Amino acid sequence: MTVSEELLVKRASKGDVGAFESLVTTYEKGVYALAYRLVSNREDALDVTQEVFLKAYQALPKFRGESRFSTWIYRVCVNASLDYLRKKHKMAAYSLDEPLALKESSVTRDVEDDSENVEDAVELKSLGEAALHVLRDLDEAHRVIITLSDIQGYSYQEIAEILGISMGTVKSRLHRARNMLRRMLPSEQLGTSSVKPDERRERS
Amino acid sequence: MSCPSFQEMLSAYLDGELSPEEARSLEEHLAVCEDCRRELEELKSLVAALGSLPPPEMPLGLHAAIMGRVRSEASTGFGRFRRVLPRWTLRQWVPAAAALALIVLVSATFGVWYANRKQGLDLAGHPISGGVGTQVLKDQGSVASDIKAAPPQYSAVSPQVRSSGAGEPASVAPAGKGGESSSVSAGAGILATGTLQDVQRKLIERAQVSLEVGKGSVQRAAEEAMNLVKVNLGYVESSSLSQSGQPGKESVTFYMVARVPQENLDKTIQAITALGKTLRHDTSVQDITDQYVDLDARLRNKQEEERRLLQIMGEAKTVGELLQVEGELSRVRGEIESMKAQLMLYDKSVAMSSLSLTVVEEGTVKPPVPSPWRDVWNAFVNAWRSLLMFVAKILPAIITLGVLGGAALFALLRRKTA
Repeated sequence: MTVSEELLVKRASKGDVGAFESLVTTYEKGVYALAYRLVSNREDALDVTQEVFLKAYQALPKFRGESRFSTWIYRVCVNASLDYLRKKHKMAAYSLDEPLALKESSVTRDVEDDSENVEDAVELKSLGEAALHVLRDLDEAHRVIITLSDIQGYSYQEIAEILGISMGTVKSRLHRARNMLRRMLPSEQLGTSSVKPDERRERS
Repeated sequence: MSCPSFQEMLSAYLDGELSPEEARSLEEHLAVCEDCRRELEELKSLVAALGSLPPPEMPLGLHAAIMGRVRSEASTGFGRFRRVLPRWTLRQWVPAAAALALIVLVSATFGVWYANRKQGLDLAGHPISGGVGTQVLKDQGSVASDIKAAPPQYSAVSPQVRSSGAGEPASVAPAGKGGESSSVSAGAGILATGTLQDVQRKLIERAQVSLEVGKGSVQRAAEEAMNLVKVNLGYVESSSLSQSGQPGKESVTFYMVARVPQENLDKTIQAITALGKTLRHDTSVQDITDQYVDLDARLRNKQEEERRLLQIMGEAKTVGELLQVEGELSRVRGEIESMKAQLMLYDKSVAMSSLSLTVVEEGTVKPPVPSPWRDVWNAFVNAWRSLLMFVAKILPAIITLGVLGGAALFALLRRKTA
């Protein structure tokens, strides 16, 4: 956490809305993206993102800076998203009007156009799309770790902080999650990719 | 090292999270193991595919939506308030709230007890025997006798009260025994009028008795009980004799509801309980003095109105006026009738105590021991009733304090934010 960010957090925790807005500006994109990947639809992600910042504003007096603000807010986001999903599934279970409408609500919407480098994009799109699709069948813990690591690109250290688990746990859980995912995907699709790992996008 | 343990390292290798030694040994293995190589390739493309997913575009207006909610929380929400209050955790709040609730409960109980003591009642609102009530009432210039003595004495004056209901002046002369004045202050209603009238308390007594008698003697006990009611100038409202159970194990139960003059109730119960073994004997007293006095006063008002209307009717000039007055008159008379009926019902309930009796055969019924849970429940209900009474009484004080406290808090908030 930079010095200025530390100052912003301090002032925001005393109720300074302007300081809090600067923090929102810095993190809303990342929080929205993470929420979007976890709840996998736009409307829900909007709800969750607002919820996250509202909760953060309320809980900020309790934030004592043991962790970085970024990992703290992402942790709030993960928890809020999972809560949201649980609530939604519970409601869906009782709603007779639109049974099972959630499960495949946004498979096609997930993917956005990537006009640069068309050939690669087309190839990857299919694999990425397929991976996203089967990702939903994974259990919570493994879905979250894949999202944080492989989709959002956070480092092991950051993930450990966000989830409050040890580095060793991150390592083994990620290994397990990737293997689960790999086995759920057709191997010919996995084999056709020409992208090298070091071309992974730099984000975080 | 074997393939599985290398496989476990693949994922971390991909992320560059292996130590140089680990990475070297894995690379050596990969050079010779095609399976692991393929697995690494597959993981690579999977991770690459996921990593190349374009980040979702943040919708326009999200920032405004977030800040809108944060601002409304900051200005109106609890947040502002909470920043002033001590930052306690739930663990600290719970005992504090519990302590506060305890204080309220204790003071409520004490307050109700004190208020009732003034009126000569115990915590549950029942009359207490002994002179506690006397002391307090003396301060109000009225001589109170032991309240337990009131019911029997009341019945002696009940005809007078009834006649007052029919339009006579309402002042009811206390029917003293041996010249002793035995009236009890009738409570706020009367005191407030300024004319400190002596009004007899109106108490409705109810008794419930359960008896157990020997096998086959239920019927005889029933006859004797009904007889005892008649001897004591009462009457039986309803009675039933029923048989139940399997053949060979039949049991007879007798049930009756009777009305007995209040002064004879104790005597009657004593005689009836002598017929068998008493399983249960409850009596309760309901004080209806306030309602009675209130109704009586309203009745007199209506009667006054009736007289006035009659006067007006005599002076009426046109048919229209006459009809109008007549309409009013019939409405007032209807109200008077229903009030009289209600008063008579009160009189009857006060004069004639209700006595319900159950007679069962020996051994057929487990004695209905008054359950401790019922007592607990009753105590609970009474406590809440008392609490509500207390809250109603101190509400004005609370509102005043609330306004003052709110003002203080507001000032504090302003100082903090300034």
